[in-house]
Amino acid sequence: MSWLLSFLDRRVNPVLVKEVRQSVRGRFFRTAFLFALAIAWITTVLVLQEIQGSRDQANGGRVLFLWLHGIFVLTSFIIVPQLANRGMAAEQEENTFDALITSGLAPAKIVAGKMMAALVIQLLFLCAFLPFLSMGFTLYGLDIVISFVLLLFTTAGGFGLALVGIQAACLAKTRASSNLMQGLFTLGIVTCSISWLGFSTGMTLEIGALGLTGWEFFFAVILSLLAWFLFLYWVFAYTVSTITHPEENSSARLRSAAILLSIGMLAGATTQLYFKPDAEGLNAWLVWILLLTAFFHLPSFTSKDSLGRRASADLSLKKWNRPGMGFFLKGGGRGTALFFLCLALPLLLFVFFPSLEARDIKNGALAPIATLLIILAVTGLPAALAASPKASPQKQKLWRFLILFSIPLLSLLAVLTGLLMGEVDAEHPLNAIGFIFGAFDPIHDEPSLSSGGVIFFGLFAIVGFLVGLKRIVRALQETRSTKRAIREGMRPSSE
Amino acid sequence: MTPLLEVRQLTRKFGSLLAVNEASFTIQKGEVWGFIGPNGAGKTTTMRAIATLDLPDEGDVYINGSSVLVEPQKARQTVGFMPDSLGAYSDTTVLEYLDFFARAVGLEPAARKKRIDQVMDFTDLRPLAERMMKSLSKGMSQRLCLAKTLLHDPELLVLDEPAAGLDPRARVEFRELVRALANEGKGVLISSHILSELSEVCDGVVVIEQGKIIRAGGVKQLAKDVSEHELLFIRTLGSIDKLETTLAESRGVVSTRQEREGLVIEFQGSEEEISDLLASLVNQGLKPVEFHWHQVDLEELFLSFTDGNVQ
Repeated sequence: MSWLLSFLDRRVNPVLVKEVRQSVRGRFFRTAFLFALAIAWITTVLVLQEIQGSRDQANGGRVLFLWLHGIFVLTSFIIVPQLANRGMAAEQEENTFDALITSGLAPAKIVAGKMMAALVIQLLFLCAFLPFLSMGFTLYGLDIVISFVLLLFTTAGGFGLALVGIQAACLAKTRASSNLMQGLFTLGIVTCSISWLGFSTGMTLEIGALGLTGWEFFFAVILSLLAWFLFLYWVFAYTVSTITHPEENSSARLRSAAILLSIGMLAGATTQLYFKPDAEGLNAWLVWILLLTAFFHLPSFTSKDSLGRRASADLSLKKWNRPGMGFFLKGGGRGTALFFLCLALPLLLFVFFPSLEARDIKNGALAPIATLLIILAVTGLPAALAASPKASPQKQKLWRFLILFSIPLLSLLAVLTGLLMGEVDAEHPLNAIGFIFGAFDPIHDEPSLSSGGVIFFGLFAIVGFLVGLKRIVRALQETRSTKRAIREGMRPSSE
Repeated sequence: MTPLLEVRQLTRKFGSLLAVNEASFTIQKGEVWGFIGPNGAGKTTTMRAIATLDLPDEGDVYINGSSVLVEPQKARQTVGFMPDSLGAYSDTTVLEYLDFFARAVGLEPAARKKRIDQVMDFTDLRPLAERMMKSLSKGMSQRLCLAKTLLHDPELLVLDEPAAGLDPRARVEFRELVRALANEGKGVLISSHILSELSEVCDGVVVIEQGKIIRAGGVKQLAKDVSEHELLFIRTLGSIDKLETTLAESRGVVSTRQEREGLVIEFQGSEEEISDLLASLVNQGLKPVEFHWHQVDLEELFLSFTDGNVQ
């Protein structure tokens, strides 16, 4: 035991120790922890009382689990990410960040320490809830597999949001922008938690109740987690890069804003599932994962991305490193390869998930392919134009601005097109997103987009795809020439 | 010999503002150098570049011959940077703060404890070990900040306005600490607005204005730059006008200016001629009560180099 303690004393990340110590002592955590426990206890008592009085006790376990899981979602998706976000923001606000950097701690270690601290806090919450949650298993109607998967997903989700919170805090340079990021982040996590509550309820009621937890389900779960952690690794890499180069984080800001925006949209799409909790809805959800991944990486195609170049130089000089980070930060061939890998994972999900409802592979795969084309059309074009060597700094800013707002613009276009065609209800703007999917999603019996609309988006798609492809080919060529230069003994330039 | 610190052609721009413009200077081990200049002159920007907290647009900084651009982690092991204010962690005691940074610099458990004890003794922080950081006074915070800076035993200390906000007693203590560090062979670059503070500890100064280094060198050398002649101070009993008139007619006196209750004389001549000057003053009935070499202090140097633009 003493050996273990001694080992931990030597090896444990100092930032993890500091963060956990500060959080646990802080008033925010203590209040939230006690409050969550009290709510869990009261909820358990009330639900048990309700079940006892009820004639139908067959679903008692499920009902109790859903309530308690709901509280756990709120703590994981709101309190833990907020703690992580505030922890990093406080470093900037209280001038302690410089001390961290000059202490010799590698930026990756700082971010990792803060991430792990968020996980520890989350596990503390989970441990506190477990006795209450376990009561659900003594009652009827709770599928143990689904409940385990949900807890796993919620923990992974909270952990990921904490990392996004850390990155959001890294981006701001001024108090005003810090407040803005804080506001956006809070909005994002609240939306996420509501959405996830809806989705998890649907998952429990539909998949769990129907016993659809075969091997395909497990495969889908593993792929989902893998895609999520790949995405998080990406966020991690860019967070590290951002704090390594505080002087040059405009493109990282763009990415982070893109993440936040995408998360908000992902949440928006999944919110719909709350009202329609069936397995079909998973298609839309997975399409959004795909969109999120693609949207996040597209700005990397811009070769003038100075943060990426600086990060690349850092990696070349071995200033800091983590396995596989080159994939995420270096862009070019490897970055592109990873981009497609991230695309492929959700696609694989489509291969397996439709079998739950006996849908064929072709139908399942069509929606994400169509979505990818749309994304390339709307974001690939400005990304490629921003990367053009002839683009002036002002034009680059404009194109990057367009990347950032391409998805809302796409929605707007869809709404306008739908209005012109008389096929969308203007009073439900969220349906604009659904409208796009509806046009390509074969689940719907009748595609709601007219042939004119298909041509309209198709043209964008073709142009964007071709320009994007050209950019990828050029990146691959650059990578090859750099490799050749290295082989010939020349040092790759950081600029 | 490789200098401990070499700032070479350092340039840093913030948009259209040229914060530091081709700054160059060097510091050797065991030397204490003052870094002086008006507000916004570029002192902190330069120091942050030395501490690897900011990247220069052009030029480089070398610590023991290693570039901070190429090997920032190596530089961080050699440099101890003390910012102008200590960032305090909430819900953290002085001991926990030092323990955290001792872990961060990679000290093993036994060495960590020993080093924390050493720096706490050196900075007289032991009685405050269990105090919460937020409850520390300015002087205590500065001592803690210095203790944190010393944890990894850096060869070069970069201290940004360390005496700001300190009371007179704390200033004296701080000055003694800096001198003690220099005696241990550490190089120290220290910026301060209180130039009289620096005069007592500095071997040399770097004067910066509007991002440009306008003078850098040893204090004695810079004093010679201010005046090519010897500077003497004399105070006599009686009227200062008579003294001034007498001196104006004396051989070797180039100019005089009033300071305190006496006169500073710019004198051209040998030590024997200085002795003759004193004798002639006595012979003419003047009664000297003070007569010595005039020490040019940093304020005078600074004012003469910057046209008096103290901000």
